[in-house]
Amino acid sequence: MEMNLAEAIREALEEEMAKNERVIIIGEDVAAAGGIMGVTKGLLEKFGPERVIDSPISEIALAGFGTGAAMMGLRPVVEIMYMDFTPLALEQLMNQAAQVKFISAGKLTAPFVLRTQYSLGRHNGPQHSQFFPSFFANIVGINVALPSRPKSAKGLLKQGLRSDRPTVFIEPSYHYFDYTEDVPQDDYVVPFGRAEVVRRGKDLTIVALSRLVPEALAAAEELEKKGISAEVIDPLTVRPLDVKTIADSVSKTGRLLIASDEHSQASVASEIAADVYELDLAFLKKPIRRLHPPEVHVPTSPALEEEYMIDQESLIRAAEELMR
Amino acid sequence: MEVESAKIDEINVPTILPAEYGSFGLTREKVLSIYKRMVLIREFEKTAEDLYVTRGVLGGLSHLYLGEEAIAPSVVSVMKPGDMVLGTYRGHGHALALGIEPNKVMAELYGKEGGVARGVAGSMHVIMDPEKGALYSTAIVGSHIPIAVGVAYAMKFYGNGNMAIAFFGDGTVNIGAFAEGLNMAWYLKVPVLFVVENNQYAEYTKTSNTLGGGSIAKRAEALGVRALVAYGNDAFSVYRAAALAEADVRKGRPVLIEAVTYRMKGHNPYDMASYRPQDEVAHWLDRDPIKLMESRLLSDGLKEDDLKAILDWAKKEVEEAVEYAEKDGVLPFDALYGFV
Repeated sequence: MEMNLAEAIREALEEEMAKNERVIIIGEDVAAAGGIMGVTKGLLEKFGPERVIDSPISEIALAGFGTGAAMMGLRPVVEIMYMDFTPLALEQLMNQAAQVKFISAGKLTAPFVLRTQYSLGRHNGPQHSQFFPSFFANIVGINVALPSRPKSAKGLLKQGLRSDRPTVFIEPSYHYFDYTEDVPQDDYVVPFGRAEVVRRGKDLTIVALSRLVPEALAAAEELEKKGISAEVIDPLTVRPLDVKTIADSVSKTGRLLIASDEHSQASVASEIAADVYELDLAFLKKPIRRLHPPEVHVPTSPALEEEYMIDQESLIRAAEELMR
Repeated sequence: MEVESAKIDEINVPTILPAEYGSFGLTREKVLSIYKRMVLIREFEKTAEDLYVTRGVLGGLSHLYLGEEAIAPSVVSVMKPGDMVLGTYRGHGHALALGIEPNKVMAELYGKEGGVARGVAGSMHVIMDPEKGALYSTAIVGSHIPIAVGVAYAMKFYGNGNMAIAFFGDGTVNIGAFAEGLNMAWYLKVPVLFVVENNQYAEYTKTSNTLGGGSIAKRAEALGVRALVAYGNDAFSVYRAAALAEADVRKGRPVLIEAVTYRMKGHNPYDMASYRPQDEVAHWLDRDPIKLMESRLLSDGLKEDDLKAILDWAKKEVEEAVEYAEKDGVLPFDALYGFV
């Protein structure tokens, strides 16, 4: 069925809630309002106020709630409205949720999904647009999923709800509504730690994160017209990170471009570059290239924000430079 | 609020005489069981202090329950099967009060495989035996408060009448998780009991100097959580507060008990607590919770020999725990990968 990213995520939630009565949702404005962008619309009516819960503006308490309820066997989906707010919950995530299994020597786990979104491209300014998955990717004991497209997003969310670890699920709201694709109606999961080659190519490998996956696919079409065949890889999860699929691709193309909405220093892109280097330098025809936004905060002005953002044009330019 | 707690130094909770304890559900059997746990905790902590400081056998961070022994054993006496305790880095007393074997607690302090957490987590995480109602403890001030709310929500969701109990210290009421957690507990109407062990010092700083509004109990009430103040050195007073709270809590009305007590020693075993005025220390050492309990038991018909038998039992338990921990082995490192 054709659906956009927001609809695919809602469908995953709805199907999992119907299948497992221990799946509950809590977050700011998720119930009566159905979420600020409508992702959880209709779930309160379908599953009732015990399972779809509006929360006070309390990110620490939200992440703690998820940890505690999960320890007791519920499967909470905790929504934190903007990714920029997640550092408020970081203590709970890294010291508590991620460590429950360790502190209990395996007696307990805290498997909940922390859903959040970054809204770069929606003119929301420096404190409502940021993308920093490496904060979470550094934490042992959790999963970090970067859903980018409707079909894989549905399966990734289901996988998160069946994992025995906490999962941070970061959605690019830039693509919530802008295109649709065919999403299977059956029950499927997309396994964590297995990157998806979303486009085959032979001249260079583009690893794109989150929002930039559809952008990289569009850029690859343009590159094709210029005689450059780009392979596009979506890691899907950055913890666990599937380095092998990336390295296999680079061993074939010899060129690697990593595109991410993060700032470059200590980023997931840095991690991918380091991992590929560690595997084998011999097959690289050119040094690895990372494409990041400039070293400023996200400007609110639409014109300035546009200049800040990586787009198809900058992806094409970076790819062409790598081919020279 | 049962008692005004604005000036905790002057707290004046009416003494509860043994003849009255039956009126709030205590029995001779329960009183003896509380007393036994108190003595066991005292002996365990004295030995732990010795192992950390005098003998230097143990290292790392630890936080002793000396002087606060009346609180955990009394509160957990109102628990029913399936109720869960969450606590802190000052948790040896709670683990022992819940009936976790001293061997397992001591082995955890030693970092040995027979510990409650296989020696992986250490002294700050000994409240760990869900089958005995010891669910979790954290070494981060206040972080278990919202976790307890999630635990209590699950209990409410399952509808089995259970409750969660979160123990923490007075310093905790200045951390964000306290305000967010109590408010969330009120909002979600979950069965959770908060127990503040107000030992009057947040690490090395006098709490009353950093407590806006001056009252922990009032702060809880401002967040919609009913507050009871108990004299934390008096097991009867603490038990009465817990018994009063229990009925409300199980109906989804969270309660906070402020149990006013005093740390006999420093924040950790190495801290000599020289920042505390000597007359204040003397005042409180004179109000030893175990001695208070013993005077009640003696006036309730027990003999000195009965008390001595309990002390001997506790000493033996702790001695055996040290022997067990000394002999126990260390988990192979590779086992850690199974815990992440």
